[in-house]
Amino acid sequence: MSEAGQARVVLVGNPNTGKSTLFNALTGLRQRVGNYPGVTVARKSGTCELADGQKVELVDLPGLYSLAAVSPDERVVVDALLGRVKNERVPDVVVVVCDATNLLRNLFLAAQIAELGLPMVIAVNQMDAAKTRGIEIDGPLLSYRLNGVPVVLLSAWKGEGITEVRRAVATGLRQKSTFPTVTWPDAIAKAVATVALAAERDTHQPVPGALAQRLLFDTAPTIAEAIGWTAEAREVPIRQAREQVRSSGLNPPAAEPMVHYARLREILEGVVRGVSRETATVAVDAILLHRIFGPLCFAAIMLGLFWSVFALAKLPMAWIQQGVDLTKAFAASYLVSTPMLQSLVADGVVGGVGAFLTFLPQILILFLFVGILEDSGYMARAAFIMDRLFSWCGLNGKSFVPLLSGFACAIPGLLSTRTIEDPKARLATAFTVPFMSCSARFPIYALMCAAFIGPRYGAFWESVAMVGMHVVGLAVAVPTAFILTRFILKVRPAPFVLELPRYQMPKPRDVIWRMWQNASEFVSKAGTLIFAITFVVWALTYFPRDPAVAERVRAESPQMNAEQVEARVQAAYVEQSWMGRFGKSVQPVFDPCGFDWKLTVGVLASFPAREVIVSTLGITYSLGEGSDANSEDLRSAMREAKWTEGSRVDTPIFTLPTVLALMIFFALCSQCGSTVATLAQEAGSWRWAAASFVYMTALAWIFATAVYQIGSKIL
Amino acid sequence: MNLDAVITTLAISAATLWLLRRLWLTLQARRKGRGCAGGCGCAAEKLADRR
Ligand SMILES: Nc1nc2c(ncn2[C@@H]2O[C@H](COP(=O)(O)OP(=O)(O)O)[C@@H](O)[C@H]2O)c(=O)[nH]1
Ligand SMILES: [Mg+2]
Repeated sequence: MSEAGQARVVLVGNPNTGKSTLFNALTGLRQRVGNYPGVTVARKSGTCELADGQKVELVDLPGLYSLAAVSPDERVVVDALLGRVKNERVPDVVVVVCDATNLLRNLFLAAQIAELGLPMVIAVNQMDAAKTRGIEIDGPLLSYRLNGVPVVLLSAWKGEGITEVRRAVATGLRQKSTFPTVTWPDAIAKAVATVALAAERDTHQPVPGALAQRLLFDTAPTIAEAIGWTAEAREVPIRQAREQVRSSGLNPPAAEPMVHYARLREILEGVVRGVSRETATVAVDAILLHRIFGPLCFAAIMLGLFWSVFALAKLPMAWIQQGVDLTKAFAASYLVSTPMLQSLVADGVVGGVGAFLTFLPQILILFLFVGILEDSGYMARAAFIMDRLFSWCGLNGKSFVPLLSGFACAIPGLLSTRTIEDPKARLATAFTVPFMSCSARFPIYALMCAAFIGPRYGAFWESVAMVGMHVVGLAVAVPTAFILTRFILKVRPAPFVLELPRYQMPKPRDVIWRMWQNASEFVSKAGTLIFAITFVVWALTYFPRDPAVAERVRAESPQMNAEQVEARVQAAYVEQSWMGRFGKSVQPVFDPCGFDWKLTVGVLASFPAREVIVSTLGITYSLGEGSDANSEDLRSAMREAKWTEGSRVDTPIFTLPTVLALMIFFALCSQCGSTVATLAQEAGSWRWAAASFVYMTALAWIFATAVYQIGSKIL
Repeated sequence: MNLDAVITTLAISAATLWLLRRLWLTLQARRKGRGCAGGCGCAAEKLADRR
């Protein structure tokens, strides 16, 4: 990205201050923003044009509260500031993005960065929110007190003050003004010098005071490792230096914030006026985070959400269904002269991709609501409620963002485990993330709801089933986490640190963008993976075509009319196809779950990606019906499907126990190639990925079997 | 072989090759510890990087 001679500007700041929003405004890119911490976990760069026409490389970084970096995402920031990224120098200007409603705490990070001696620009963001809370900030005065470091007041989301940022960064690049460093008490200054000397002696390189401070104050070995100071070599000098600090009456870990905050309070004297009024948030949270009402509200909101998704999507789904049927009929009539191709296009591609695409409206509406809940700040609270449960069972306090993201898709969830310091706690969280009900499970749940639960029990129970499936994942994840953290990984419990975002009016632009992103994800999957797989599934279900099969069926059923005979011929062909034979030979494995051979192949074909089940069912049912017999949609075809052999012959395949067993199977099974690969990458070994795969698949089978067997007994 | 069979065979082989290539790319990208594995997040990632 960076061209030779281009200046590098980095965005640093506390989590959730609007760094990514500002990054997007300055570069025109569309990085993900979200109203909770931990959304950005890796560095991202883009090009930004400054007020003087100069083009610079702008880098968006994860958020952090202090340079005492311990978690992998925080280390990314420290590495960027120290210029320890491969082929990179130190940044030319650091833009510290602050939240105007909490300037003091935000400037603590700026004061730490000041010690590194890097030119700085202070961007005080979210001025709109500060104004509504009655907070006023005197930018020029702050700039004056900071030795002329440019200070910009802005509202990144509203786009106010962006030009001023472009101007301030240009000024910062020219002036190179630095935030004034603090005057350390003598004891600390001496201790820092002692550490620096010892480190220089051992590592044979200059160790600036800023690094020596980190070595002195921090418990995490980030800097020591970065400069290659071994644990044995540093132990004694650091301990002695800390003793020096202690003997002067200061407590080493507390000394740094104490000194910084004392000075920052002086600097901010008269700069920040007015007091924050946050009574509304407190009152609302008293209910939404209440021990009993909180979870009840959450359940009610989820029920309402799924209910509205089903209700609102009904009509558009019917339109898409009609569109698919029309395309199928059109393709079929157009390709009569080439029957094989006709079947490939109509039954295979249109049948398979169409069955999947019908769920687009539901996905759109689902993500519209999820986006609203996220942006308003409620989602973080819902996660907070869940998180109480998880921290009780030993997971890290920071596990909540990964688990929350996991509800949309496991991949970003796995990536955001990088915010967790303790590698063991990271691993335990990564292991539980795939249990969260991701949106790829939605189509099969929705198909089962629309085909069986809705028509028989109504919309309320449909929503209950959906909420239930999300709860099942959680219910299994909790004991899993418990066993992992207590007995296998032996994770030390971490202090619970969580800053809840404030409530805000959802921003239509962000919400719609999120919906759009997810919709295009869905459609692009339909156009690539699902599309390609339908060819293969069709071929395996169509071939071989032995004319003897047709003759035998015709001979066996002389008294039927032509159409019935044709349907039986098609069914017979499918049953003796490669897929049919394979499915039947594997079916005994899934027989205890109540799956017939078609469900069995559906389940097996879905191991690369769980959405494939819907298209596979679409193809097997469409092929088995006879090509141009005015084919019904998948849902009614499934409702009419009957067992063709065994003890359950001629009874419907899809009974409530089977439907529930299938849903539970998909709730728990590890059917996502990308998740397995990402888990392997984040855990650093394929062993954990393999363990997760085996564990989830086994659990899925056991739970599905239990549900089917118990269900069949009592219903 | 008739036209019907030829076209069908070609289409299926193309799809199969594409799937194999994709599998290969997934493993490749993951081994180098970067890139999306072609699953969720891929399209979103591309969109985010586009102006
Ligand atoms: N009111 C207000 N909200 C903002 C502003 N800038 C960002 N936000 C919101 O703050 C939240 C966090 O933004 P994000 O850019 O992801 O923060 P990051 O974690 O620092 O990258 C999102 O909900 C944004 O919509 C602003 O200027 N005013
Ligand atoms: Mg961000």
